[in-house]
Amino acid sequence: MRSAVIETLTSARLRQSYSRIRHRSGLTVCVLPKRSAVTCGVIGVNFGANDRTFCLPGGEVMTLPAGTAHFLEHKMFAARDGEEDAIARFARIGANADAYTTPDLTAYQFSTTDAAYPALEILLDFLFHPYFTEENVEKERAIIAQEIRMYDDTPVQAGYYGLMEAMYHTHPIRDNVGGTEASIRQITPELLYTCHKAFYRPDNMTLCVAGRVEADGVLSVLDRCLPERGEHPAPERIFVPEPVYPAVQSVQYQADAAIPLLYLGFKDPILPADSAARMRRAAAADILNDILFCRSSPIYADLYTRGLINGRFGAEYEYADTYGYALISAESAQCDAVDAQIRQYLADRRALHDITDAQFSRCRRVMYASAVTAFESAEDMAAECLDCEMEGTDMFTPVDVMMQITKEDLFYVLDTLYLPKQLCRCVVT
Amino acid sequence: MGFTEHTLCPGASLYVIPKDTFLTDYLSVTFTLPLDASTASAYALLPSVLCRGCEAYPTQDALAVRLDTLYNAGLAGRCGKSGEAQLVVFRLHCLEQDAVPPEDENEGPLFSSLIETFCDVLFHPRTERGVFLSSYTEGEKKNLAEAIRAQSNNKAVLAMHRLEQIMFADEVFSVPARGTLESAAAVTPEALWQAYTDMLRHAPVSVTYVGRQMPEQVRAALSGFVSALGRYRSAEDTFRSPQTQVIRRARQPVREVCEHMDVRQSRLCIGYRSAAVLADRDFYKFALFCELLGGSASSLLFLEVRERMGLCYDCSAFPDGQKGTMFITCGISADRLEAAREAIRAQIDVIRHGKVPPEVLEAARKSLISAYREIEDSAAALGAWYENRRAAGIETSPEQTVEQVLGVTARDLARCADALTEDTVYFLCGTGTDMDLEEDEDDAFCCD
Repeated sequence: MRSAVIETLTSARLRQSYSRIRHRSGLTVCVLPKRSAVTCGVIGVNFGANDRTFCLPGGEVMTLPAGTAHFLEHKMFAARDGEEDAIARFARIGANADAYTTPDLTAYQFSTTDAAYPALEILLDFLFHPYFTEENVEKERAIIAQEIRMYDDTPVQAGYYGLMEAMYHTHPIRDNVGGTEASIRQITPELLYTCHKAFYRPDNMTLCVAGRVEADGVLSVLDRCLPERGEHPAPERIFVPEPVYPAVQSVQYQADAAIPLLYLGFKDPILPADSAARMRRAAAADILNDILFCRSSPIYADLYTRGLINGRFGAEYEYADTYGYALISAESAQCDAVDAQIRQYLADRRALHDITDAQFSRCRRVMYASAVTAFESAEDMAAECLDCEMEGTDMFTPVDVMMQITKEDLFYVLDTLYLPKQLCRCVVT
Repeated sequence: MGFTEHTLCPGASLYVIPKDTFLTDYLSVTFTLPLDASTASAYALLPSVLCRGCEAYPTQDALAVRLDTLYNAGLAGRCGKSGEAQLVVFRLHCLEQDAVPPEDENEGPLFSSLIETFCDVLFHPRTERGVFLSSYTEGEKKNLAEAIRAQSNNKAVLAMHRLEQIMFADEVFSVPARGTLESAAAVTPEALWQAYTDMLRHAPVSVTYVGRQMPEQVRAALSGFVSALGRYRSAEDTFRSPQTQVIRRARQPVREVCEHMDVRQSRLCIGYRSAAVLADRDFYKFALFCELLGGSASSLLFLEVRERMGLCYDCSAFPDGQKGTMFITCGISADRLEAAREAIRAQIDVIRHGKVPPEVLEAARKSLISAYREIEDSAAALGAWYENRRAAGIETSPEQTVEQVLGVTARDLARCADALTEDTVYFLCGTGTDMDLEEDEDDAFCCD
């Protein structure tokens, strides 16, 4: 019996292709060969900071302290006393390893110039062999506390999380990915083992490898290293329904910012259940943000020329299946004036629907160029591929969707997202 | 040697690094200027004032529209410091021609169009009364002042900046790359214009291209740049790069400065004189020393100070090959200053006494080799590699350096440790202590 089903995905538009492997263990694997010096592998676990409440296969409902996924990420590199930990194992073969936790996933990555398959083998080994003790968890608590403090001292972090707390009533995205010094005191080895067993399973993971690799070589490592498919499905996440309007309209924080920071968040009231529809809305929001707020937009030029903003100004749209928001950020000594002008600007755009064909086609060029350059480095390719695959799509579909977006799609986002009642503001001084 | 050199005009050379693995064309144009407190802010302002608008694209948004139309081409200027030289650098990149969709191919070569736009920006700025627009100058002065102030937002950056100010107080190197709030405020449109014309007339210019195009194609694309720059220069002019003062041993006693701030995490920064500069034939030995001490997650500082002792989240060491220095920086609790200093000293001693476990040394070697090989994957990194080395008078490629690193012994590294002298210790003392983690309400114990 074959251990995997392999399909080749191709984009005529971008002149790129890659292989997607559905391994018998349940793991989805993407192999992106590239003539680069470095090979990068990144595995995403569908367990992020937002996954705080879930139902285990036996029916038990668990609620985790904030920062558990991030704590688990730190501790996964640990080894039994006297054995090499994962970092040392990677280092011995000349590979670098790193990891990060986002609201939606935990990712582990390696890069190497001459040991791609051995590095992949180490990655797939340590992720399925955790070792948590009272002592090593205690030590990690001190290190993570230092990390939390470092971010606490950063005004940008204070602004982002201040906005999230104000925008969301109960959704865990309002909490810091790393948790707090108080919340991480509740984390125990047992809790980490429970989370590992529940989520660190091949059918709840996606692996992307880009660089000097081939599908057959990767498959051979998978066959050797991966555990069998689990008997039970991954836990079901439980989210309390989140009201569509922000919890608080406006907040202010003092964080010793050299120049005040303004964050305007628009909480998206439309969260399509279907991933294709989510992608279409996100593509429209990205194009709209680019047209409305990028360096060639009228408001950027006006605010900059009048000295109300510096170069640190931008807009983005972030989303997953349970949340979506647009975020406009600026550094300004006159946050109230910038805020007022952005509100008026958006009101005018909603009233006039005056996006021009020239703006629209220029933005498409920018997006197309970004799609091409996503293939410039193995590291970018692996990271971009992971994002797409974990969202349930591939690397090429978003470009095709983006090319199909019409001005009507943009106006729909403008009229349903950029509304005063969806707006929440955070100022950091 | 991984590049070919071509003279463009007096004081300006083109270096072509052929690479067929990138999807973009990359070009950097570097003007090398003396680092001087009286001109630092003016040179720092030049790239941003030039990018505000030119005759062809009078406003910032007009220029942005132009770059968007060129498939999101990049044209950015910045100011930096390399040893005791101030660099004004413009970086350009665009999709390589084959990546342009067929329906737009008749619009002409992207790379040449981007260089034309760059020439518009560099040589045809908007002026009034023969100097830069007052409104653009004042606007960018305000942004420069904000950027200088903004470094206090990142406490790690702030602490390193304070260390440099203290350690190099009597050296030209203490001049910040962007100048100070006072020097930024003092720049007038006339002074800025003077700096601009001085730069075009006297600064050595290094143009580096990375991509698929042949040298003659790149030269052809640069013909407008060469003729415009050539108008400011003559064959009789001399173009000299500034020399950097290198102090190979620290003065005694070690300077120790502690400053208090209302922040949660404290920052410890230590500056050393390393006795090793890039121009030395064996700098690669010191590069490996730094990698072993604190260059990666498998370094001694990370393994000992973070992983074994749990003293910090970050602890790293990095060299400055132009100035002959090394810095260590880490984020710790306020009450762990002495413990951290002792742990750092102990790790340097481990290298000095040749006691590094062989597997840790080999891991550092492999990590450094990997980092050198990865340079081949980034046009900007590859260009910067050769620029830095040319400035130091050497031309070794990343792969040649890999060969050198393979031959470094534990004894070589022990000599590097012996030559290292501690110069200045700076401690940004915050409020968070390890006792907080145990829910203790005692007041923070802090350094003197």
